[in-house]
Formats: sequence, C-alpha cells, structure tokens
Amino acid sequence: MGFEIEISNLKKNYSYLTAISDLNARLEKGDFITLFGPNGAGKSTLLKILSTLLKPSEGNVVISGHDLGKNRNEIRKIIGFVSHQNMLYENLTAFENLKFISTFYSIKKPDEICGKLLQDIGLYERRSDPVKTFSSGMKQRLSIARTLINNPKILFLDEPYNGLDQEGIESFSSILSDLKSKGHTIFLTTHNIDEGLELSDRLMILNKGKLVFDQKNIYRKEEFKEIYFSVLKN
Amino acid sequence: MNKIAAIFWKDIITEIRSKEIFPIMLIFGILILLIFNFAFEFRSEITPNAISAMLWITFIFAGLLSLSRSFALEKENDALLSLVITPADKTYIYIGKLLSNFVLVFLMELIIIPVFILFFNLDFSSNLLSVLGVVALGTFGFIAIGTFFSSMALNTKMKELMLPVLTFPIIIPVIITSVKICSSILDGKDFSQYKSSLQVLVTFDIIFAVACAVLFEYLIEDS
Repeated sequence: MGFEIEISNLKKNYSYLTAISDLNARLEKGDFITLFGPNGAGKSTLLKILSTLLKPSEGNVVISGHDLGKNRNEIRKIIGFVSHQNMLYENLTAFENLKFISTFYSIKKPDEICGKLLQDIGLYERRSDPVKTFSSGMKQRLSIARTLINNPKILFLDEPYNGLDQEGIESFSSILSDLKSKGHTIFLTTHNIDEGLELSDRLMILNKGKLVFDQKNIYRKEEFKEIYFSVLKN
Repeated sequence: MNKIAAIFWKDIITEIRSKEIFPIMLIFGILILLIFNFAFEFRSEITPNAISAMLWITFIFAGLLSLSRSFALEKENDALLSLVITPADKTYIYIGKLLSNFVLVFLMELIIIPVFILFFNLDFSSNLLSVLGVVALGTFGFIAIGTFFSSMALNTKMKELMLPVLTFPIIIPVIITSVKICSSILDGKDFSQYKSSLQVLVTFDIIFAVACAVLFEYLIEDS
C-alpha cells in the first residue's frame, strides 16, 4: 500500500515558540489516523500545515505525490478540512452554503451534488433554512458536507467534536465511519480520548510539538488512556 | 467570473437578510449631514468647495462602516478558511468583495445626495449626472483600497481602529482629486478645466484596484 502523506523533518516556529519540532511520519492510503495531544501540543498547527493553510518553517510534506511547497493547489483539489469552527455562512441556507462553495471547485451539476450531500447527512428537509437556525450538531454535519463537495481523497478534521452534544457526537461519528468505509484517508485531531478511538487504524500522540507515540490501534480505551497519560508525563 | 459573482451574490444576499450594515451606514451618513447642516446654520452662501468636501467626508466616514464589516463577516465561523483552502485563485475573492462593497456604498451615496440637496437647499439639477459619475469613480478608488486594508486589518487585535489608520493615508489622493472635481462641476466650470484631474482619478482607480488585486493573494495566504 502506498503512502498518502509523507512528513519529513517538519518544523514550525513562531517568533515566540516552536510549535512543531522534527516531525516525521508516513501515513497510508485509506487509514483513519487519530492524533491525540493536550491543548497547545501543536495538533492544529500540524493539521493547518498539512491542509495547506500554514507554511512550515522547515521540512517537507508530500501529499498524494504532490510536494506541499510546490503544488499547493494540486493538494487543495484532493483534500478537505473541517475544524471546530464550522466555516459556514450563518445567513445563507444549507443548500446555498454548499452551492456557494461548489463554485470555487468548479463543480459540474452543483445542484445535484449539493442535494445528494444534504441527503447523506440527513439535512435535505432543512435545505432551505438559514444555517443560523441549526443546532451545533447540524452545523457540524453541514460542515462535513461542505468539505465533501469536491469528493476529497483526504480529510483533515481538527477537533471536530468540540461543542457537540452526545447526539451530535454520535451522528458525526456515524458520518466518519461511513467515510472511512468509502476509502477516504482521514486524519483527526482531538484532546479527548473517548472520541475517534474506535474508528482509528492508527494512533499518534503529539506533545509539546513532538510526536511521542505512533502505533497501530490495537488498544482498548482504558489501555490507551494509561499509555496516553504515561507518555505525557515523561 | 462565476466565482466573483458568487462572492458578490453572497455578500449582497447576506446584507439583504441581516440588514446589518446598510441601515447603520445610512443613518450615520445622515447624522453627519445633520451636524454639517447645524454647523453651517442653513447658510446659502456655502462655496462649492465646502459642499464637495462635506459630501466626501460623509461618504468616507459612512463607507468605512461597510468596509470594517466586509471581512469581519468572513471571520465569523472562520468562513474565510473555507475559501482559502479551495484551489481557486484568491483574486476572485477580492474582486467579488470590492464589487459588493462598491454597490452597498454607492447605493448609500445615491440616497445621501438627495438628502444633502434637501438639507442645504442646493440645485444640482444641471450637473447631477456629472457629480454622480465622479462620486462613482472616487468611491471605486476608496473601496478598492478599503477592501484590501479591511482584509489586512482582519487579523489585528484592534481591527476597527486599524482600518481607518491604514486606509486614510492611502486614499488621500483619491479623495482630494474627487473633492476638486466635484467642486469644479458644482462651480459650473468647463469640462476642460477638470479633465486632467479626472484622468488622474481614473489612473488612481486603476492602479489601486490592480495593485490590491495582485497583492491580495499574498495577504490572504499565510507566509
């Protein structure tokens, strides 16, 4: 199986701190990777670099054969990014939000695709309602539909469960499970061990900008919790 | 072209639904006119230069309200990131925003001008179209720069304060030229007397719009 994402000697320095330090990783196609770490560990910075929103200070990233430094737009065609901010326009309807963003990917038959995505996430009945009338869970589901508009091979999810209630978490997890079964490579970050562990093929822990744990997921929740806290202590 | 239209449509439809900017901009503009009206005590001997200056002061201060909200809307829910992460050329975002800001501010000006005429008991009838033409050109230059700095001020802590501080020094040539031309028109001067100023204004508009469009991509993408 080929590597979908190759990260070599990645560093990101801000003027006041080093957010990522000498990070190396190779992620396989179709894997569901969950990156755990406490607040301020550098998870969001790493995800923003991988999703082309930040430039690294040093190092190299190759995504699906495209060098991040040279082919940013090629990478943007095949990735999607979801964060705890839903990136939606509150005064537009669910359908308008999807159709608006579809323009920027030059999608053919946007009405058809937007309608299908809304059906997939269970919001078709609410397609004509403004997003500001939606619950957090509905907004997050719509946010993932927005991300799927260009049918990306790779999905980067930055703390997507933040602010969701239990129902929202379950609904979102079911969408992720569906995406995993369709072969998308999914890279999720979270500081909450209860989230995403079941779906994950591979577990990583980032602490103070360093990758301190990187293993296949063979762990039960309690087992991994122990590992997580012991790794953070060291 | 579709992308520019999409940004334009999104901004206009958002304003129609939220009514966040336009009514405030209009009320603020009329309040400025009221202050001028009381300050000049309804005198009829106000010079064309003063009339022109009052109009432009009103336009600029009221217009800045629209500009300060322009990119703030994109910051809500980090919506701008969803555009930045697309493979599309980011210049489209700037042009779409420039057009939507221009339409909103010019519409405000179209309402302000009759109110101004009414407040100061003026007669613009013979040169109204010429004044409107200059107002459109001056506004375009102002909005071209303001839209750019609105995006620049977005990530600063005091964005509402930063916008005028960044914008005013750069728009001075556009505003001075616009005031001069309007004043000449209201004074009944012949076209040949302000033709060169008009050429300067058009040149400023083109230079500012092109420079801002080119620089916008560098501004919006993280370095």
